[in-house]
Amino acid sequence: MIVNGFAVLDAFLSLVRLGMSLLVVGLGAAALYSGSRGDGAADAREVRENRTYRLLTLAGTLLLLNIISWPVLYLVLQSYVPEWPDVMCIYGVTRIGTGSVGPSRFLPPLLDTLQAAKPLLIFLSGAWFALYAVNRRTATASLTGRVVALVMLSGVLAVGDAACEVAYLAIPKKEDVGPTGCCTEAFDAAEADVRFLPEGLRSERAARWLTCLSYATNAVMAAGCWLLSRRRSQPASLLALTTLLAGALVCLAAGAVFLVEVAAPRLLHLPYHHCPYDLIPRAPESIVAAALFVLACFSVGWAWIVRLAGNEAEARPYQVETVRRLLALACTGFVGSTLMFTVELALA
Amino acid sequence: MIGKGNLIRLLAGLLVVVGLPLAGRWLRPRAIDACALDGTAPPPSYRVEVRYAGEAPLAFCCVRCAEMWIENQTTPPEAILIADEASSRLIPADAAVYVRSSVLTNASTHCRIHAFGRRADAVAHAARFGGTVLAGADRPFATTHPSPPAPGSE
Repeated sequence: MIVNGFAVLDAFLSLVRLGMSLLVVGLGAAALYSGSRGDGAADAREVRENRTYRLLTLAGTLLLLNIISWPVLYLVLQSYVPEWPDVMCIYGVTRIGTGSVGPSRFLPPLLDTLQAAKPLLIFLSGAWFALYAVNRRTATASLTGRVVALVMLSGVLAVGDAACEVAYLAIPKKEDVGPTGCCTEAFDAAEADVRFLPEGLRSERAARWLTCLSYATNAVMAAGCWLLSRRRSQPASLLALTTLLAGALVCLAAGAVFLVEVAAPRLLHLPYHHCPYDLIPRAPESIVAAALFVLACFSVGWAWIVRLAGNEAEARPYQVETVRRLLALACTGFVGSTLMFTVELALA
Repeated sequence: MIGKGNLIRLLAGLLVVVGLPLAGRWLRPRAIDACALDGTAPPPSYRVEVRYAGEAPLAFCCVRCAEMWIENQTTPPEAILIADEASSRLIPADAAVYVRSSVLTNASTHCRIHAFGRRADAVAHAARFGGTVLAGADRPFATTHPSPPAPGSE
């Protein structure tokens, strides 16, 4: 175990998250069970309401900790970089343990899992919170069952995520496994296998097309979100929101390719260096632009979930308003991240 | 008409999206002597300099980085200089004697190619670290800067 300030903070955060998420899963299961029994007595109803209230308060705190844990993970990984002579950025840290026969062999899959689970966890946490925002305004809290189900789902994922993080921090990383190399060979060599594009498409011309594609998808998404957010009386149709969601997925893919193939080399002032991890220490403001972009894509997904799961007669007026606000947030995110990347690329 | 609250939000947003990149650029020091490929500081004994006509010389931290850079160019470089590992003095790449040995010159690229100004230094390194003196097409930059024929050869 490598002990430094960030690792201690992350270990503390992960243990707290593990405990809280286990509690959330337990309380959620109890809430769902008592809800399914449907005991109408006043006492039983009060107990159920109190339990749900406690669950949602706990889940709200867990949501905040889950959000904080995402950047903290990368701060920990960045703080590990000087520990190995062959590592120059976070990419190298993610490869530590490759080829090992000891416990270190679990490090790369654990980190891959964490990197995939964090965004999913924040998306799920945001989804329950958006639905809860609709539910709390209704008189009979008719969406409580669905909110609790989403809370449970994010709780289960949080248990896995926190357990993986504790395991990653605890596994020794000083095993002699030979040089694993870093991002230069992985991203920049002609035979690089971690790039999104095949070798034939890695040209200046392809970069121009990618830039156009990225700007076009962002513009279309921003316009779509803005148009649908203007509808005040009628909710946006599920078909329109599903189309927007599919667009957000395309946008996410185009954004990731754009970041690696075009933005990273420009922002790093290294025309053939395509490592997105290097942006964290060398151009940290670009992470804000990327976060705005992710927020925009997530907001579209949250709007879709609210439209799908919040379809109760009593909740409809609040559902319309919440979907509208989420789409407005998505529009702001797409415009903001595009503007920010444009300014950053112009200054680079 | 845009409301006062919205105007404040708009201005705050603009301040973030424009001000943050500007502040980042202003506050961040520019690396003066960094590898042109991956941005790390080139160690004096493994430094490579690639020169193109009418351009400032580009520094690299190892032979592998310089080769990757050259692979991406359409025009061959005008000159390549490489540090003699024994003295850290820059010498023309085509005059250097290269050894591939078990010692890494740059662990992040797995580069194991060492350059020496004197053949005796190269042979001594090869003998000490189980290396091979590179010749012909095995030499780095062989396609862009072929080595002069060895004395006594045809």
